[in-house]
Amino acid sequence: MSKITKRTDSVYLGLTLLLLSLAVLVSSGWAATKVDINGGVFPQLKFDKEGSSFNLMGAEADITARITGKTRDIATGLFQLWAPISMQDWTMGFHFGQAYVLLPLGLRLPTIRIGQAVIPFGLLADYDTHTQIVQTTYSRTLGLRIDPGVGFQGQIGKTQYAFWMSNGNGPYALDNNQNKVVTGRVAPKFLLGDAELTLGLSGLAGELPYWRLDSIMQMMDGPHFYRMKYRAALDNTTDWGPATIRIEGVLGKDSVLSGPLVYGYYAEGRYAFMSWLEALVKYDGYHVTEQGSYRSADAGFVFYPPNLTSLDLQVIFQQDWIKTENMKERFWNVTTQLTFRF
Amino acid sequence: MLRHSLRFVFSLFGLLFLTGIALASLCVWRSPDEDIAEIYKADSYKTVFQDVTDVQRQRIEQQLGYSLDPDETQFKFFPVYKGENQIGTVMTHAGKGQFGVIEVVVAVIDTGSGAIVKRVSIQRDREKAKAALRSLKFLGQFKGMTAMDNFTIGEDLKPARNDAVKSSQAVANAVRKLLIVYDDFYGLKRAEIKEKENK
Repeated sequence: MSKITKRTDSVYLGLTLLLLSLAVLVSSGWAATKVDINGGVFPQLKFDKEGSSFNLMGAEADITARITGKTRDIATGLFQLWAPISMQDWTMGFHFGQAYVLLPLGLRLPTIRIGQAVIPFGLLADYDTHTQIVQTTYSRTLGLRIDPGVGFQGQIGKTQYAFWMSNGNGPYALDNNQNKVVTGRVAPKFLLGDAELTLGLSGLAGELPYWRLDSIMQMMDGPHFYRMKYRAALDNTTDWGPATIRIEGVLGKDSVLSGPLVYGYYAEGRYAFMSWLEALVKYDGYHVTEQGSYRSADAGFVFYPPNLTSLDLQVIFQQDWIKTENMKERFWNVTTQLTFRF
Repeated sequence: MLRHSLRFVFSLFGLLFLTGIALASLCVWRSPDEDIAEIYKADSYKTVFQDVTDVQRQRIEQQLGYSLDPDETQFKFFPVYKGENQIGTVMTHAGKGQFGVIEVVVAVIDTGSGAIVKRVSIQRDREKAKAALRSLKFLGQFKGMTAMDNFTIGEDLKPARNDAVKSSQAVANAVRKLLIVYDDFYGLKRAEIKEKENK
């Protein structure tokens, strides 16, 4: 039996024992369970140089089960089910596949997270991109968003922290090597006049899916290579009156620490003219030394109907530029998405 | 693939309508540890989600004087404990202010004849008068209020700032709504228990 199999068996044995213990608690009447279903449907209408298309970008059901004791929450499980939508396999894993258990250790103590979850790197830690047309640079800087693993998260005063150790293969994939991806983030939050700022500092190291910029358009086929990636990020979210600003800078190396420099940046601004209308602009880029760059600019509007917090309509114009030694491409699209969460 | 997708969507809606599963309004409690330490100096809390029945909805709306939002079919209560004793409850609400959603956290104490406000805080908003809205001068006014009090800004309550009447009223409405909802869920339960004891 290989070391990996032994290790995997131990993890599964531990998880099984944990779930059995929770089942015993519930059946003994010491704890109670409550199951809720939430979810969302996100149909899209897209125009680009090839014409127009209507597709279902996403449809999901989120099942949340809570086990509570007499005076505290014992465990919360979340399982995200989704429809076989019109998105290719690998990119679908950017948005769907969260399935994890949260085990709070108590007040002022960390909460343990086990399962498939979003890597807490940069803006991803706080910004749920899976219902948005605009996306941060994670697909290029990391190569995935959701990854199976184990970690903890919590808050000390106004500072949030998170640690996540994961496979580096994306959701619903077996670990293909002994290497683990280790991610950590600390993020203090503070009020400065009429602005509320969150500053995040993240670090990540581990073997992750790798695409050369030349082949990044084939990302939907899945990764053909895995490489060691070292990444550091600084991010900021500022709510300044009706304006929300999100900024992220990523710096890193591929393969080895002496390898070529990669860097990415992301800046997004939103301004609410009134409670039902918001303008949005975004600019981001990812640059790899000796390969080239991938940049993207977006602008559009988001409509929020009055008296509803579960519905919005996004209309976004997107322009992308890829520039490498072998290719120089520019493409655009206009996407309208209705986001209905329940 | 499209056929599969449509089948999933229709099945999902069918399931929701058939089982009457509550569509939840979407406000999470972002910093329970910090809030609990500041407000109650408590040891623990738990999460209780309560679905609103049609009868309750009618009762709550009658007392409010306006309809609940269409997605307000479930309310979240976070009972807070010191040792084994419940010393209060926290509730959250996402309402529309002048420029977007205001997430309000309301901590109450149950007096036995209804809830009174212990503390109100705002965990997220996009209002221009952010600092004034979050100030003790504005939020402190709610301390000790009950569902029976007057929550009209400009009458018993002062706005956070003169140019923030709409957002101040949104916060006041959220507090009043949560007090009414709490009293409906737990006040009526108390009355039922009392009635049983008397019998």
